[in-house]
Amino acid sequence: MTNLEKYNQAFIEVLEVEVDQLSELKYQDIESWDSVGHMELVATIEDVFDIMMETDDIIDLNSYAKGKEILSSNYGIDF
Amino acid sequence: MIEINKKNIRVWSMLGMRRMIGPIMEDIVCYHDNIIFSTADLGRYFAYEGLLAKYPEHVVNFGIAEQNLIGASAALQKEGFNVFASTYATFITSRVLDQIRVNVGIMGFGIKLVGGAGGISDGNFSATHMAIEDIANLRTIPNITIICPADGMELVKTLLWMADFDGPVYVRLTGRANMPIINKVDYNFEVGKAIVCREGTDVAIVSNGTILGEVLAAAELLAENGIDCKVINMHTLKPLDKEMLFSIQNMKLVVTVEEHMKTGGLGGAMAEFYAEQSSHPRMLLLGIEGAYPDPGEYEELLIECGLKAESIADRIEEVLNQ
Repeated sequence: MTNLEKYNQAFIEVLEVEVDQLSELKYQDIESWDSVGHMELVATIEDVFDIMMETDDIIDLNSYAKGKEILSSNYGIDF
Repeated sequence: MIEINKKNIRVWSMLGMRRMIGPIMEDIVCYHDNIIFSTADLGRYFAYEGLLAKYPEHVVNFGIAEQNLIGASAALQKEGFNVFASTYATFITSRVLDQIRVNVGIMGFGIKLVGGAGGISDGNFSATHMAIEDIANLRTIPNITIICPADGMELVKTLLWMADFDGPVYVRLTGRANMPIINKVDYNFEVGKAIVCREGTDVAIVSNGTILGEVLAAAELLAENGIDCKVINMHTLKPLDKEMLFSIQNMKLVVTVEEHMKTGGLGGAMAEFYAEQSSHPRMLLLGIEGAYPDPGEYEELLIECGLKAESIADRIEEVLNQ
């Protein structure tokens, strides 16, 4: 799987969304992306990329797009 | 069904204990028809939104009326429900002490008391929201099992056990979001059986709750100075694991560390036990003493109360050198 596919899959599985919902998706836009859903999403992302995210990054990850930016600039993950 | 795996252990750590309650109860009520989550208007505090939305028949909110919470929870117990009565630890113990004394101690109703912000973790709300004499208060009431889980996984195991247990229980939640993971892999949890987190031969440090993270760090600092510490998670304060206490009786020093007044908590309970034996170890009781702390952030308060790893290690070394 490419990094983008892994990233998308984390959102799709945890938040139970379709791939065409991802690009504009933001925290609390949907019921499943609440605080608990957010923790599950972060834990899944950490698992698939074998990283441990910093608290500030966990808080800043407030959209699908922002998440890609954070992973790319702070964790060296290329999409 | 709650899965214990690496991902969930991480999620629970990030959430912190109080925000685990609602999601875990959602799973528990699927298998236990008779469970009620009752609260004194702190449902959101325990992240109960999902539970309320999916299983409203399992939730009762009594409003900010803690004495009524206990009285009504006792009535529900009498009708065959298993009630998890949940609010701040200081309110579910000290504020309602008479209701617990009567309904639980005297009448024997098996209410499950869930106390959030045990210790000083919500100390930014001042001492009125610190629970630092709760263990002392409840230890004297007969038949209440008292458990202070070390981390998220231990809290899950405690809640699952409580769901099947008829008697009264007080479970004390400690720490905040991003709490330390003490148990990194699944293990056999048994109420009343302490767990050795770190083997050692010189000093035994006995503790519970999330403060175990500081205790383990203190043990590492002491190891650098040639002091080998055994760290024990005494998650069940009542009943104490007497076999474990006997096993450490001959160590150079037995230390207790707790987010609680020095008097009447874990240290006091262990001292009472040892006082009745023909020989007993030298003890050092570390906890909060002298006065109620001023309001402050959790990390600041841990420093002020001497409960950070460096302070714990320093005190142990100081006593050993006396």
